Amino acid sequence: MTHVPFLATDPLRVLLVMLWAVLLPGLLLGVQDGEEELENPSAKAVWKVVQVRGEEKVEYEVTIYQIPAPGGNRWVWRAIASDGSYPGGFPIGSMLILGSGKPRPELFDPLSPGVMEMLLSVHEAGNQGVGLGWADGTSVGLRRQIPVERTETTDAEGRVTQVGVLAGGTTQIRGGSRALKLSEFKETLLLGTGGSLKQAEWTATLLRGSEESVTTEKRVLRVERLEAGLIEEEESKQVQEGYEFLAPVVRVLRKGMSLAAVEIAETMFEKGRNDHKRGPLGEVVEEVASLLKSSKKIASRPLDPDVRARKMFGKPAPDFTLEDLEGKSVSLSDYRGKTVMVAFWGYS
Amino acid sequence: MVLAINADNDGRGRIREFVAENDLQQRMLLRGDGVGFQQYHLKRLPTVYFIDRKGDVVSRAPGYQSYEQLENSLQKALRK
Repeated sequence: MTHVPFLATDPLRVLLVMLWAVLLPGLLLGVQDGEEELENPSAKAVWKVVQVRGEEKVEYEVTIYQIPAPGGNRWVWRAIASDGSYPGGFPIGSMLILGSGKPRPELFDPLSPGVMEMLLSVHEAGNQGVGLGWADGTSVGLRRQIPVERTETTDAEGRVTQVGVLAGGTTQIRGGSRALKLSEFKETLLLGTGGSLKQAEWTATLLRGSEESVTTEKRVLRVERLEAGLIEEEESKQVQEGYEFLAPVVRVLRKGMSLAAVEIAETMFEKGRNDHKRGPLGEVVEEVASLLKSSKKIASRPLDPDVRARKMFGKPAPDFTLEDLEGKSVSLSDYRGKTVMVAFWGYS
Repeated sequence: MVLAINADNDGRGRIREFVAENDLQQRMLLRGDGVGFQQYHLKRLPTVYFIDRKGDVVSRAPGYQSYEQLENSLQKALRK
């Protein structure tokens, strides 16, 4: 059954959503269905998120719109941290969920690993049965499956709590002199009566280093659904159009490019700005306007990248997460304690 | 540790070819244009950054470098 993690708020919607989930494969094959609502499973959900990585703690709210995309759905998100900043570096991003395949972060990955981890975890949660199985380690920043033993309890109101605990004891994530081990992992999922995810918490304890010097890091991802529901076709269309309008502009901003590129993005943006400033992504449009302004300021400064680069000396190197040729995620922070040469290269 | 980051959005196939042709041993990371140009203020490729054990940036070497120059920068980073 297709997984619809943040839907299902009341019995009617539960029914609609379940029907849709059952019928979706058919719809994808072009089978027509009489139910108008089922053809456009657009939804909106707001989640409260707390993410802890050792000493660092980030709290934010993320609004996710689910809108139709060719071959599946797209989740367009916007996230704002409690201090007003964007946890992903940008006020908007997206993830493509194809009918069969894995969800794929679009546009703003890899600059928004935090939000992406949250989205992927919410998407994957609740796909498993009880007993020995696997949990998705994305929730705690480990892009791999973690062996767990799952138990399930149902309360009087029909809510289900699934708890998965690391099976088989300490698990090695990476070997070598800076070995990384997972010593504890627990996944707690609270599912509503419709089977949709309402709350979840993932906790992990990671051990880094060799026998002599092991450092311990606790990681937590806690999510709570504040609201969820289907949205009207009109709103869905506005999100779709707003997304298509903003995506190319944000793509330019993400690269922090030349003044000329920023000016082209600005021209593009100003043309459609008024059409989108009152839609559901209206606030994002305003945020992007101010991002454009500050990008233009930076781009028109005579200060060249060399000067900016030299300002980094003696300061912590910005962390990043990228995929290698095998599709494995690698973060600079994986190599803390080691001297690292970071070599940027390209053909041109 | 050497991390090689492709900052030019070259395709996987092309990168694999390059790795095989030159018998490269380092971790090869993909799609680093955002990281490179925004977070690391690249002006040209290649550029090497040296990061010490604490995770601080020590120096950088923009453009093609001789082996001695790189060795020299690495030694400085190792002493930190």
